[in-house]
Amino acid sequence: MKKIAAVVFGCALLLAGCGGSGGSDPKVVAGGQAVTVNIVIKDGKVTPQGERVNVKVGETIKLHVTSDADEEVHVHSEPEHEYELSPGDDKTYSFSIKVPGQVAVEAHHLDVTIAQLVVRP
Amino acid sequence: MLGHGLQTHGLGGSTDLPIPFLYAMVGASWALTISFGVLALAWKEPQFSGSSAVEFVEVGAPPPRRPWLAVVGLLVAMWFLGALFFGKSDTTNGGLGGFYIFVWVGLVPLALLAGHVWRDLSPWRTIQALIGRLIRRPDGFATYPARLGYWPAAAGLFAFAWLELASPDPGDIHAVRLWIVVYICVMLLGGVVFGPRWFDRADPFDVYSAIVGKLSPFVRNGRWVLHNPLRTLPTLPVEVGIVAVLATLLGSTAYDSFSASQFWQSKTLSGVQHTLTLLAFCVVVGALFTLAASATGGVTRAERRALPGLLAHSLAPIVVGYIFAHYVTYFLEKGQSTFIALLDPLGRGWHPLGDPATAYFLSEHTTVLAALKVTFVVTGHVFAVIAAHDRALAVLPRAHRLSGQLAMLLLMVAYTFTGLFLLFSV
Repeated sequence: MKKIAAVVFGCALLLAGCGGSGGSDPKVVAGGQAVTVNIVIKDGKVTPQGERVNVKVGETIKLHVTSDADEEVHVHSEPEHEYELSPGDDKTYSFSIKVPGQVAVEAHHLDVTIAQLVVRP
Repeated sequence: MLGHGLQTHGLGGSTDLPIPFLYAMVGASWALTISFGVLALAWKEPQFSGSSAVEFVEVGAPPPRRPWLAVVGLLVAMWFLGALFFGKSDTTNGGLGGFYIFVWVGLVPLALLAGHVWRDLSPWRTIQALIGRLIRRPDGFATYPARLGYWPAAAGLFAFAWLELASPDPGDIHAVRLWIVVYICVMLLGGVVFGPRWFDRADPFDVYSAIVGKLSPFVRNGRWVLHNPLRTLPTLPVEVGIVAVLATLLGSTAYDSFSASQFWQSKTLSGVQHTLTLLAFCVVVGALFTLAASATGGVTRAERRALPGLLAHSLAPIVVGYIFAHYVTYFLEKGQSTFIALLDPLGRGWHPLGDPATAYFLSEHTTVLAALKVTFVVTGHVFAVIAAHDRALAVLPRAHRLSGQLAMLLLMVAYTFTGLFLLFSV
């Protein structure tokens, strides 16, 4: 039993040398060092919804948001970013993320996950 | 306003990256290989379970609760509740993280290290003991009805999972306060009426800790003894509802992973739909387990009905392995800022440790983290398969000893594959 556990653990540790890589996102425009996510809040709907966006640690992320309603966009990174929107707004916010992980971008009034930033080292 | 699983585990902040495909594959192959290895090559006579169903439940009465731990439990509870109820009424309140991280997640490593120490710490048990002594009714007014079994605890665990994963706003301090007030009232009332037995069967956190505590290699029956946890795990008291408790734990954690998937996030769903999906996850996990445990020949109807309960303990390592994989970064990283926040319970700007930055060791070492997560899941799986094999040898008729465990083995492999798939794809 202990041997089995030791072998399993050993194999898992050995694997720690290898890594993985992600795919690409159609709605995302990669321009130079920045990744731009275009977000449209219209008629009580948000596009995109639940989108995966691959970014690198430290890369500049731009959220280009147009809205026809009052909305709050939250970026659940550490530290968090909160952006207030009013009807007719067309704004671009930029930030970068320092720690690898997945960060949700949410529209809080509509209760929707707009995008999930997949931040890789 | 916000909610429905939007906030990760009730609090904001980032979540883990998906584990690489290769890691999931290697983990899955090990799980499969070891499973059939155990079935084909391991011992043919039970090693850890007694030969009759009666022996399983004989654990001996636990030793009395240690007063100093009861005092520690009361003080910690007062600090935590003080922060929750008298601190700031917003998301910076340390009581929120204290509840979702230290109580819910911290309970598992605590029980693995120190056994079912929750029983000694539990402030509700302490208050019940004091009231019981005062009114000269230490064991309450009525005998706890055996037919209820663990069902109240299963309901409590589901209520917690609902608050964290499917309620309108899990990060809302008022919702958490209300949940805890109802919980405390139910615990104290039940404790006064039914005596300490109530906490053994109805307190969701107490029952959870008791189950995980059976897997502690360091503590047996409340005292420090280094031992093989596979010997203590089968002593989990079997009563109706035990499968429901474990299924709620595993099903809700799987739902937590699933609800963060792109598939689920791209849908706009109501609170009722979230709640029903969460319930469906728990029901499916429990129903499949019940089916797989009873899938054997050569037993009477009554014996078949007893089988899921007799095998329930073997689900515990899978639960613990998956919960560790799921929550390890959350506990170690989010736990740091929560600890700092709890040092300032009333929001008066107390910073006895200054303002240290959170150390993101696991998040920054993504490959180490992925390897750890796979290791937790596969280790849990191995313990589960061995525990189920051993118990099956003890309870199945001789002619059906191998064929009778096959369904359970396949189900455990399926649980583990699903767990790895969720870690890989979400």
